[in-house]
Amino acid sequence: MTVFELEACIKEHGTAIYSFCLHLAGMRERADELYQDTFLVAMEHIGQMRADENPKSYLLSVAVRLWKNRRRKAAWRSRIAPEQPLDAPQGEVLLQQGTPADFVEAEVLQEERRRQVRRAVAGLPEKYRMVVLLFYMEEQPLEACARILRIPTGTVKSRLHQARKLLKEELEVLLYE
Amino acid sequence: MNKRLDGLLADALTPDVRPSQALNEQILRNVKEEVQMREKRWNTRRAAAAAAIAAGVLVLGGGTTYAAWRYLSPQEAAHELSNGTLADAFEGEDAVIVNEAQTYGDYRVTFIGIVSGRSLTDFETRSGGEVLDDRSYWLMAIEHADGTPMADASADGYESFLASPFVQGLDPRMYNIYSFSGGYSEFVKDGVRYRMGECDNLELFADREVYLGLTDDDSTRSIELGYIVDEATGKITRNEAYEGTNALFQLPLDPAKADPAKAQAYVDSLLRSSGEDDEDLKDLPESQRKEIEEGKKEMEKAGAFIESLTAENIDKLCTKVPGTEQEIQVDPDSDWVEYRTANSESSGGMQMDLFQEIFPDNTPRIHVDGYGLSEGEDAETVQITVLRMYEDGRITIAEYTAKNR
Repeated sequence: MTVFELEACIKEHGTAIYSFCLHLAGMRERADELYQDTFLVAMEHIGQMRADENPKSYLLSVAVRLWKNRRRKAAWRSRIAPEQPLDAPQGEVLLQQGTPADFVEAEVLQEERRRQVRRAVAGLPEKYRMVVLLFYMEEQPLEACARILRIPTGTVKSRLHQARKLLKEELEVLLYE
Repeated sequence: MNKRLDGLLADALTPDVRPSQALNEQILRNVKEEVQMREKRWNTRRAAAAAAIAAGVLVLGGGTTYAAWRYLSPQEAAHELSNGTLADAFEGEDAVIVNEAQTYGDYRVTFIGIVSGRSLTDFETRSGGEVLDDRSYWLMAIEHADGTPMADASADGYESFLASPFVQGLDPRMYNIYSFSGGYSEFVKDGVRYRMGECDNLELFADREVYLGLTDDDSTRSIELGYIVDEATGKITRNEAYEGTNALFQLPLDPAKADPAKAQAYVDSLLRSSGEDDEDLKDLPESQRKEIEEGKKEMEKAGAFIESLTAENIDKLCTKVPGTEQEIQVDPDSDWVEYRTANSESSGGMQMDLFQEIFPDNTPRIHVDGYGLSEGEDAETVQITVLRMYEDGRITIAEYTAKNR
């Protein structure tokens, strides 16, 4: 991959990959680092991309691998510790895309619903959150989710099932609106 | 209610958070700097590389085997990859040059050499924030058995391979290039594809048999199909019945460098990392944790049930979900088979050769493509996606649900 191709790749998939990193990491500083490392590692190991794999799936698989490894490393945690903590609780950073005052009432309600859903997703155990983000946010088919997470398709299905079950309980009020 | 939940999730999770322009610029700046550094290193080492090649020719006159001069040496390959430190490592006394060739299926694979140790590369391999420093590096050459040149990575017809180390006593399906934090760089020169692979240092396991395999299918399923594990000894051999390329080399590691205690700790750490998801459960309320653990048990039970299914008993044990069965159209000219249930709820695909392995003839049989638990009217039930060969030769995909288990 040349620098020009990388630039095009960032242009095409940057928002999708960054959104995924942010929802996974929960805060900007970590998301920035994960996003940057994803492209740098992808650039270095581009030969590992399967011939039938699209760049977005490949980048998502790199991000997942980096994130899973990163979470295991105490060293990384201690390195990020000095960073300024967010005032908002984890997950809130995802929601700052306009203040309620900017919306008419229906839009405010809609945005509040989204906020609740995102908060519920952010509260899922990570293995369920990853599947939900890949499936609903990145619109990856089950088979691609399985490849990205390196787990059988059946496991993806069962994790989605469990995730939806937890989300249903959490979002009961919205579901019966 | 499911559709409502799907709608809420899709709406709330639209990927719309843009990275800052500064962040994107930072990535491009880093990459440009890296490219410039590589070019600089390459220029300063070019003279040394030329001298090394000249020395190689002299050695050839002294009786080097055909394979040794035919291929680039690991040092030359490392220089091609602008990795002078690795080239130096391959010249050191810890490097082992093998030059063993095997031809299976359409490919001739040559295991050229291996070196292991700390800080043997110019390029940092990172796993998360941590630099992986204690590594094994090996070089393989891959060619078409009929002598036609291999395609470059950027060309059409680029072939995929999976090259992976295996260790006696460790199930290769679980312990392979992926679990050992592996990766590779490769290039094509004079029609030969060179793959420089790397992973965590394999010398830890040097008191057992350690292997390097290569299959002409980059899915991990090829590991399962291509190699056989002797349950008594844990030794791994090629599956002679595998149709395709499944080379297997035994690595010449020095048993004196084995460290059984460290090896065990390493394997334990891999097990912990594969089970890391359980750590997530710790923070959940008791009720949710219980539910998830019960869900896991249910899935294990479901797995055992799936194992017991055959073409003969599936209609007795399961109910076909109406409106899901769809005949699979197999295009004999394609190397890929795609399938989708009639209601489009489930879909999938697989490589033609794998499909033909599953359905080698018209004998009725089933293949479970996936399964999960779904909520039935009264209780959870197992939902199964099944590919099925009927007596008349039709192959279909359909959803089934388990009857009372």
